[in-house]
Amino acid sequence: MFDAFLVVFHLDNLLLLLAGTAVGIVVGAIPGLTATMLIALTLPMTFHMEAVNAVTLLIGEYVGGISGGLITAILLRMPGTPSSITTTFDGYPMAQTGRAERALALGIMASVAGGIISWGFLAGMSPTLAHFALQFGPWEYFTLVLMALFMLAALASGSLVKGLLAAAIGMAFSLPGVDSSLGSARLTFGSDTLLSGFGLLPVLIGVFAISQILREAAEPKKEKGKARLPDRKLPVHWSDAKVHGMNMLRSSVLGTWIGLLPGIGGNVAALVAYSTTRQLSKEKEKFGTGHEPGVVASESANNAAIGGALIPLITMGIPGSVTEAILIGALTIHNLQPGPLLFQNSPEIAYGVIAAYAVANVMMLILMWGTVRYIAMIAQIPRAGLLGAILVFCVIGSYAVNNSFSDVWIMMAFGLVGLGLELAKVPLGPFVIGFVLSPIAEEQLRASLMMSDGDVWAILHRPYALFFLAIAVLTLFYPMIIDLLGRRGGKTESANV
Amino acid sequence: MTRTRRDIYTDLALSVFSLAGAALLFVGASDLPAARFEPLGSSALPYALGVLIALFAAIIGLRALFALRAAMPNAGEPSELANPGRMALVFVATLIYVAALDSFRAPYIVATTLFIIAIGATIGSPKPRSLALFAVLGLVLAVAIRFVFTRFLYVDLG
Repeated sequence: MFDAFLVVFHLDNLLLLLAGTAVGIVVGAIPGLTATMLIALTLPMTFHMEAVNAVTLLIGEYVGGISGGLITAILLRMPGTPSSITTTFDGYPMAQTGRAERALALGIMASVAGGIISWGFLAGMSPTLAHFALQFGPWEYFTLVLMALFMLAALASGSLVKGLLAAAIGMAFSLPGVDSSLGSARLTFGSDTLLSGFGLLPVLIGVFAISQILREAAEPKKEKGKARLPDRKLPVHWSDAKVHGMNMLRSSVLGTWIGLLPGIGGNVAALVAYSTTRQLSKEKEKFGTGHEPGVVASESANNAAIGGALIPLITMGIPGSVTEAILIGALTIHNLQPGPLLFQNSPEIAYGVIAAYAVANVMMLILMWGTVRYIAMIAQIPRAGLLGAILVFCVIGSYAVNNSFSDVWIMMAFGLVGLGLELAKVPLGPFVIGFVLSPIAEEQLRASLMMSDGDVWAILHRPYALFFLAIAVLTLFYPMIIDLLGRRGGKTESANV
Repeated sequence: MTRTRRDIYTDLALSVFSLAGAALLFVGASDLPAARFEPLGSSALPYALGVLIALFAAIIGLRALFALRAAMPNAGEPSELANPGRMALVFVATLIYVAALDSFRAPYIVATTLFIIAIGATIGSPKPRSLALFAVLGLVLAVAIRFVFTRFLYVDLG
């Protein structure tokens, strides 16, 4: 771990981390632009970098992208990222009553606390979990991927069937190309372009960036509310540690554990931490009116969720959210396979992620503390120029992958796919995770069946695989079970009445 | 909860497109060779996904058909997209930009500057002062991107 910190403190890595965090904060502060979109757009630029440098840059963007959202959430009641929605509940009323600086200061401090506490879990649990995961074979990996997919589909917002459909469609789009086991073409329909399949980057950029920009373009032209920019020093006191310390700790731990679960992002973590803090408070009625603990709970939890989500990513190669799926893509682009072997084969990357996450949180504190006023000004740039510039980045970024315009056309097509799915209220998360994880799932299933001579029941001799499968099935039937229990409860109540 | 007709028609469209996709999977999988060296073979996953997509699409489609009777009219409800025309213009402008670079080998800096002006006029304001600002932004952006990609990433943008 110490060596990893030394690597991160190399000048080039430090500069990349600084740049990544700074750009992330700015993008995170602009409503409509997300850390996911930024990371997808940056990936093509990391091709020519060393893997450690690329990971450092992307982790900086991730931390900055989630943290930056609090600025516009507090000043404009327009959360820069979905993770900061809960911050608006109390942050904006605080700004309205002349306490914008105090809300920003608490939000930034809580974000850093959340990041550092979840880093403790990340650094403490990851090597042990990775060591444990070394016992896993193909059956365990296959069921683990299945579990992650089912959880994502079930827990994504909206209907379960649509979540599952999204995952299946995402998996189907990963099929065309050369079958890695047999070396023959599959579902290419005679097209030479499809022989190399749909590239990860054109698909990601299309589904996230292009569809998002098209939706933004369809928004009515409206003047953004003018924020009162912070003009005083950000006030924090040592006594805040005593007043808000317990809340920060509890919300950070909650955020980390919620982040660990696939499919539940920082927004849910923030909401759960906010509700818990409110429930435990003696001043429940003050929440929503500009109450400081509300801002602290929300911001601690949403930042802590990043550290939590990184744990299954580096120990088992399972993405907790779409952003982690893109990070998996970034690692595979550099010929690295996330999972337990990462700690053995490329410890500089595994520990590098952990070290970069800690340093990115400190950088985020320094950057946001010193520049929050200017970031708030950047967030008010006219969107016409901004969206045009992002479209140019999308086109050039997709082209740069293979110096080929085929990828650009594929990106445009997937832009329409993403837009269509969003209009039909089909969640994009399961779609992308299905696309990323499908090749791994198929490879592991084929290996499992080869090992057991085609005997599916061999899974019965693998307790961990059975455990993952049971969770997957339970996740799938969870809404029905809850519904059934609810109805029974209702009937019993009516009978008692 | 009663759904609007727009939601139901969107679900029906999703169902039809998904069923078409499932059919495409079956057609593609039927051409694949049978498993020889390993139990699963190349066509197992396409078939399995085809079945799953068809099943989910059928559920969504049937639910939509049943809901159609109880559906509320759309009157007064704001559309999901406030200005679909502007969205279509942005998409077409991007298609033209890509086609200009790909098929017509247009100079990258000129094409990018014109593209930013077009997007600025579509989403923002078509006033001459704004257009001049977008032109400057486009030119600076194009030159900066070309510098970074050519100099550091060895990607020739033309």
